[in-house]
Amino acid sequence: MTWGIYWMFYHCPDCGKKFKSGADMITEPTFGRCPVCNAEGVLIGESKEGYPADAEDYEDTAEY
Amino acid sequence: MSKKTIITVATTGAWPKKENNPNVPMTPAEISEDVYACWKAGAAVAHLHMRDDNGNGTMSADKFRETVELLRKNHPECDIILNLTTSGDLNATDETRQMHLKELRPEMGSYDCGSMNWLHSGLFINHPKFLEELGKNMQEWGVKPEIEAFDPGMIANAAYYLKKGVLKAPLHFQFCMGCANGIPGSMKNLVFMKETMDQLCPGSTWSTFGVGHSAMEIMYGAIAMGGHIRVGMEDNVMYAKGQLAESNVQFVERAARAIREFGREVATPDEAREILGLKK
Repeated sequence: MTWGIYWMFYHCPDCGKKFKSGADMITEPTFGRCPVCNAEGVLIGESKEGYPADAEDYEDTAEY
Repeated sequence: MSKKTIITVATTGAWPKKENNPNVPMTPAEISEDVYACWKAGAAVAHLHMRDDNGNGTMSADKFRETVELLRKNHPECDIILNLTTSGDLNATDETRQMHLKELRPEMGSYDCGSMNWLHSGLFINHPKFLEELGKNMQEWGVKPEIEAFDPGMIANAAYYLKKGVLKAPLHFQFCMGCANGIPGSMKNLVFMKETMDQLCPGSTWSTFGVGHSAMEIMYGAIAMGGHIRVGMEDNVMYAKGQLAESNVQFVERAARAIREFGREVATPDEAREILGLKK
């Protein structure tokens, strides 16, 4: 049994960008950091609670 | 090293719904047709979960029975190996997690070899009492366990059950990489999982998949390391970044291409039976 990507959603405190990081990429240095200015994001929600209604607008920080 | 690579397709799982991807098969009719299409594309094993009428994961023996019967009735030539989950609903009882195995006697069933936190919010319980009972029952019913290991400790747990006789060698593992609360999906971790298995349970076979972003890395890594691979919408509803999967067949076809491009061959169901030590 698996359950897909566990998301953590962030706002950038510097530029305001909305972005998300998948828990499967938690070892990556880009995890939780703004893809534009590299600032550490402010956590605003995650898969279990606070899932944003506009989740599709959040950019994935994974580079694949 | 055998030149054959087994493709397992995990069509449905317990979590993705049509709102996540409209192409996820949910009903017995959809799942059975999807299994058939994936078999034609090269899948040798189908790992199946069921959904209730609201789309939630269920261990309903009726749903499993209906799916298997539809597949056998509509496509009698399909010799795919059926691997039925025992972990399709976190609220299922120890009994309902096994009833369908007893009745339907699939060639394989999943065996989640330890408990863990689930989605940072709940518990995925596999009590020692349940694992001992399930292991013994699967031996009695002729169902080969596919040991799902979400971290190296679960491999050690399998070694313990092997020593106790609850599990019987040769074991077959499914390394579940990149799940929340499990081992992250990376080549380094995949190598560590395999080395742990080789040390603790030598002679075992193994397959793997990466949830989410690590899907491709783990798939290619497994092919290169001589393992087997699992694909499908249980683990990934995205085919690539920003691209929803069109079907499970799409995943199977990509896996088959990767295997052949590497210079290996896609195992047929009968070849998979030989590799896994199954009796048809």
